[in-house]
Amino acid sequence: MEAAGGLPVTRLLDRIVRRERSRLVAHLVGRLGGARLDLAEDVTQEALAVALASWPYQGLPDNPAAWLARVARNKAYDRLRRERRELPYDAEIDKRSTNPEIAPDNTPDQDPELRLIWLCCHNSLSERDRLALTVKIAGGFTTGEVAGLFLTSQEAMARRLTRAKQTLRGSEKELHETPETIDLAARLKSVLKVIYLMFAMGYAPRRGEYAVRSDIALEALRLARLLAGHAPTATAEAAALCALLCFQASRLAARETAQGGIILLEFPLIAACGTAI
Amino acid sequence: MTTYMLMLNHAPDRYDGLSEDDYMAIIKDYVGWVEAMTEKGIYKGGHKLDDGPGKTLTAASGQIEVHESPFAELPEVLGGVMLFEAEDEAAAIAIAKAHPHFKHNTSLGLRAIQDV
Repeated sequence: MEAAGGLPVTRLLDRIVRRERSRLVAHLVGRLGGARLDLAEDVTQEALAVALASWPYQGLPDNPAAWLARVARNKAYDRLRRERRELPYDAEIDKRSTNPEIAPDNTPDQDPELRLIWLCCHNSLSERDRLALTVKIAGGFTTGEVAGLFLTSQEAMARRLTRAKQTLRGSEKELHETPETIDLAARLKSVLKVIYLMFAMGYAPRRGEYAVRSDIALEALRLARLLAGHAPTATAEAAALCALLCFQASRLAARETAQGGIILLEFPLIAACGTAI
Repeated sequence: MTTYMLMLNHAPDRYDGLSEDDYMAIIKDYVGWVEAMTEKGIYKGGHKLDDGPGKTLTAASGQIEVHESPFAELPEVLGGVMLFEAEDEAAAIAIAKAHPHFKHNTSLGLRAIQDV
């Protein structure tokens, strides 16, 4: 069964869930502020749960991303309306928001997904926690996938992530940071590592049914290019990462057979090595 | 062509405590089936029913009583319904037999929608 873009529907579904999980959280945090990270994650998870309950009966909607964004946004606003009686609500944050359906992908400080990565790479966390949490939240991966990446058990990773989130919540003040106030230079090292890890998850997934998940690798490459292309993040390290990812990504199309199997380096289809990147 | 209704039953706790990967594997089978049937032009829609016992209404001694449906005691609950078109009952049964539901559950109901 082929769906849009020639992808089998099962693979399309995997992509939608992973991609939209991180994108929705990023856009909601961009809209509501970093202090609402929990809420953004909750309503995103709820929207995905609704989707996965109803799509098996109704089929995929014409535009799954817009469908999910609408459900998540409605759930977020419902929750905020209920909360507003109890908590002061910063209407200013809402005003300087971006439209969740339009992804402005021009500069590092405007890209919602990159902003979320900056936010999660928080100084109050150990580097390992920082990387794990950021890959989980900003990468849209499951706890199991992150556990595989860090070569640990799912239970241990779940505990680690819970602790890291508590720490992050403990530094509530910093969650109100914006990219304008974050010390970008201090966090750039972690941000670059996160992007490298995300690329690795796409280039050589350690578990799951796919030999290559090129959508993930290309998203990481997009973020690396954003960083390398704009001051103040256009450091030598950012350029080096960007070059490395470009080099590896050029082989993406030649790593995978049409059936999703792996092609080892001994037998690459030279013609399939990308020139577009 | 006759329209048939599939009534997909499952154990009340069938989907509790599944890992995300296991749950996704099931979802993909169902979505894949619906997309394939839609492509053939014979899928007519479906609905997930709300998780919950619902109500049972009974007419007793001249008035209608509303009861909580028994839930926990039931071996199976109706998870959702799907409508599709088939030439005749034999064709509908063949389609129902190939449904991924049987990979993950043990029974479904099949009824023809009465032509009017």
